[in-house]
Amino acid sequence: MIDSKIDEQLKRFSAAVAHASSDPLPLYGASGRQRSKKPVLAFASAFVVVMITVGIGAFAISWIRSSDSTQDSAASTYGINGGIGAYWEWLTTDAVPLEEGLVGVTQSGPEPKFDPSELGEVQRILSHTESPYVGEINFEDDFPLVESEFVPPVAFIGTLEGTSRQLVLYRAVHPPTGDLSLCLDEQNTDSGGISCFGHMDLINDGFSWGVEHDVDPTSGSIIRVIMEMLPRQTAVVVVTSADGRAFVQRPIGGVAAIEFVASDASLPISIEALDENGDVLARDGFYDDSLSKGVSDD
Amino acid sequence: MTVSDRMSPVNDGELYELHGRALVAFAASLVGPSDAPDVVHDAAMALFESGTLAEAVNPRALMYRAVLAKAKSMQRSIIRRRNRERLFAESVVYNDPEVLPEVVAAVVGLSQQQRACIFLTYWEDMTPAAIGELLGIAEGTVKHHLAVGRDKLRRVLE
Repeated sequence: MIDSKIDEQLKRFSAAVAHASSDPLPLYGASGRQRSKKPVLAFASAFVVVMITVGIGAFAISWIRSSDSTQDSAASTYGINGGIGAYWEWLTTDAVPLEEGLVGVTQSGPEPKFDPSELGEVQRILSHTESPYVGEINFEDDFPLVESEFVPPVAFIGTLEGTSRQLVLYRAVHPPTGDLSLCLDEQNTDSGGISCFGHMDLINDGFSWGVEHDVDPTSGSIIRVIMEMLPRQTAVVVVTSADGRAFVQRPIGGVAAIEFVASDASLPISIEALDENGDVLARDGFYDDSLSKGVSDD
Repeated sequence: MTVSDRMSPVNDGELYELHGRALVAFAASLVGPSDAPDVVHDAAMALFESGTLAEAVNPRALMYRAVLAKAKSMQRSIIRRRNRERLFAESVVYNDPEVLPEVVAAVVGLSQQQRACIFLTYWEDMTPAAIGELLGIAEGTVKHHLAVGRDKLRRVLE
């Protein structure tokens, strides 16, 4: 009885979706390329060129590059060429195997020689020793990389204190070129939701970062700033909003994630990576007018 | 020249014309009806520009996989996904009020690959083996996705 009800509802759902869909858009710029008459065996490899996601672009947010960027020497960053490989090697040094395909990251920058709370509201990432990974690594469902190939293991960065959100980082390789990219996932262990923040390509000789504006009826308007590949000497990152609020975090594995309730004047923001003495290792920032007005990008 | 040779599409535009409507419906099951045409268009353009369709043994499967890949890339933004899921659910209920809202919420909350398997099963009447071949995944995986979806609905309906 219940099975027939399930079938009936799924049929109705599928039919409603199909009927709600519209005609295809006109195809602009179609090549009119003639198809080969011969079967070609290289089908699988041909597919992977379909689409490689670019990291920051996935957020549909515009950039400004800080004019007084103070990138540190190559010793503290990972370099443009092969940067992800070097970063991953550092990230997983002394990492602890937690379960098959999952390692707990232990790398962090130096202890700050100052009180981070003097710079702003401290938001902590709890390491795997403070808050164990409670999700389930399901490679097929959680990391469905049709356009690229997942490269194990997944690195568990930690849990955002006071939340049920856990950060994991993993690599993907794009077969046409063999290029590596990184993807930072935030897994909500309560809802089961997973949000890949995009494959963040190395954008300069510094760190990668992205911003998301999340409008939620229950929690209000939230701005999330995520960073990865922060310089190794980063003791804290400071995110400062235009309305004068500042948020501080000690990264784990060169990854940081800060969120705060947005106001009408929260943007632009600036991001600074500070060393143990409070000196700026790297700085960046962005501005997007639509977000500052609380308008979603959807 | 056989009849089937004459009938088979020979260029990208014809492939798009032949499969476009079904692909939009498929994309609607993944991202909702409002974003579906864009997903299909962008996926198709990427395929056409890459030139891979010209050499593909099974261009239909390639197009379905491209749409699935494009839909997944769109999932990478929380805000987009939440808004999309809300609009998606509203459109389904609008088109068939007899679909229970809790069923809609449950199905929309499934992963895109799970939803793809459900749509192809219940709308396209495809077997797990055929779905697996189309999407490039194992038949067992398709069955697993269907079982997960049905289990979720069973909990909702009981």
